[in-house]
Amino acid sequence: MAMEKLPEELLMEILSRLPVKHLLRFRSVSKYWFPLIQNPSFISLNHNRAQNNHCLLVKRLLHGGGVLSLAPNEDPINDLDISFMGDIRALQLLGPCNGVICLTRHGFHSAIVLCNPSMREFRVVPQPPSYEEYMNTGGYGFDCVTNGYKVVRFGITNPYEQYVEIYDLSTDSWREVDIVAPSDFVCNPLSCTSWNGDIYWYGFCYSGGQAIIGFSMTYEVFDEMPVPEGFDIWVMNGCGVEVSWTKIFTVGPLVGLDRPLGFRDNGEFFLDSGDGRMRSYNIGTREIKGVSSVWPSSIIGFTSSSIPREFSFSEEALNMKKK
Amino acid sequence: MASAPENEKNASAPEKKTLTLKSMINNEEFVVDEHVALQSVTIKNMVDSDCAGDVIPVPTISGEILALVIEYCKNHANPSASEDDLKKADAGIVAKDIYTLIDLVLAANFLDIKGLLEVTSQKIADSIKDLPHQDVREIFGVENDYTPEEEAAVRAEHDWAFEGFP
Repeated sequence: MAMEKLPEELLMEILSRLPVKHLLRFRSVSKYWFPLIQNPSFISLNHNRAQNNHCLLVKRLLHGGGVLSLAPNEDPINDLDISFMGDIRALQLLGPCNGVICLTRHGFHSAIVLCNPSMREFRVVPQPPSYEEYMNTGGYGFDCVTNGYKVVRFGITNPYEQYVEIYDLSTDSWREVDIVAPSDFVCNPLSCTSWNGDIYWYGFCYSGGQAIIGFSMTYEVFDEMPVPEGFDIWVMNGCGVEVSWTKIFTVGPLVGLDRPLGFRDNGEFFLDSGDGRMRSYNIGTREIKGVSSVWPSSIIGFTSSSIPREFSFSEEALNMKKK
Repeated sequence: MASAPENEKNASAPEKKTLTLKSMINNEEFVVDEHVALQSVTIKNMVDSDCAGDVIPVPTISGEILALVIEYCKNHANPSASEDDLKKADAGIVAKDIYTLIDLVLAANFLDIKGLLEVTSQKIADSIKDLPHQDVREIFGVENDYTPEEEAAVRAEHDWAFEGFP
């Protein structure tokens, strides 16, 4: 059928509503479509039209190993091949930030890999200066002033001294920064999340009580903020001293459920129960279900995105795989 | 089809102004309440700048498509319609074959009706999502300018995305 060719802005309007997986396929349509789909403004348009793009990245621990799976809203769950990361049981999922999640482990010699699960692409971050030292945790976020992505890691050296290091994606290099993390705070390394580019960890204070520590990616400072009480769903507004909480949903009481892990769009959310098993709780029906016979340890919810080519170094990850 | 309520119950209401839209493809004419037609930014600009005569010619849009556009505008000009009603009505308007949808999105773009553009674009995206890329080429009238080797190379980059597709 003869058809009037669609103007480029209309084509972008339509294609930007497709899930990333199908965009990757449609790059094969023509040489004209390929750069259109790779274009940074198209990528951010697609990322913001989140309708089709909510995903969960789930780390499940199995007997003798673990798998990292991608659970998009519509498609079935896919396992990602990250065998090059070695044993993933202690793997931390940091972020998400614009569809990218940072994979690392706390402890010594922790490799850091940036992962775009929706494109199944990876970028290996070079070894940090304190690679030999103990790492508590890290984070992945976005500096909205320089428009740059950053990885932060902090830990302790032997003899005891705190360190904080930052990796800038744009310069592909690490630098040490002269700040200290709040020493009264013990963070749960699995609790890292990123919002508006900044990073937040949940944990406990030695002096008693819970706390949330934030790290501003723009100003490179730590910040402590209050935590709402109870097991409900709260939305955080603002940041730093301006922070306020709005309760949007009361959960439970849920006996034996410990830690919220992530949401799906269908009103289902996942919880870690005290025994380490994962349960799903449906907000509508208030039904609790077991989720496969595995032990999860982390879930991260994110909006998938395709990313500019320069970002991904899949070949490097492939080389790592071969080693 | 395009009949406006003849008798205004509220006598104090000002008399409703109408506009006539004419498809230049098949010369079909539609008499529409002005406030309905003004949801099109293109028409609003014409009316505001006094460029609109008694009959507004609409080039490149057929009567069939223009009727759909007017149906959308009428629904959305109704202040008593709930969000749910509108959603249902929108779904009905875009429950069309892909080629009609493409004509409709072009019309929404030309007439500058944001809501219709969005709902139609989403429907097109949903309709092409599970089609092989070869079919998508045909629908959008895009010529395949890859050599077989080039196409294979692009595909090889994310071969997993093609699982279940030719």
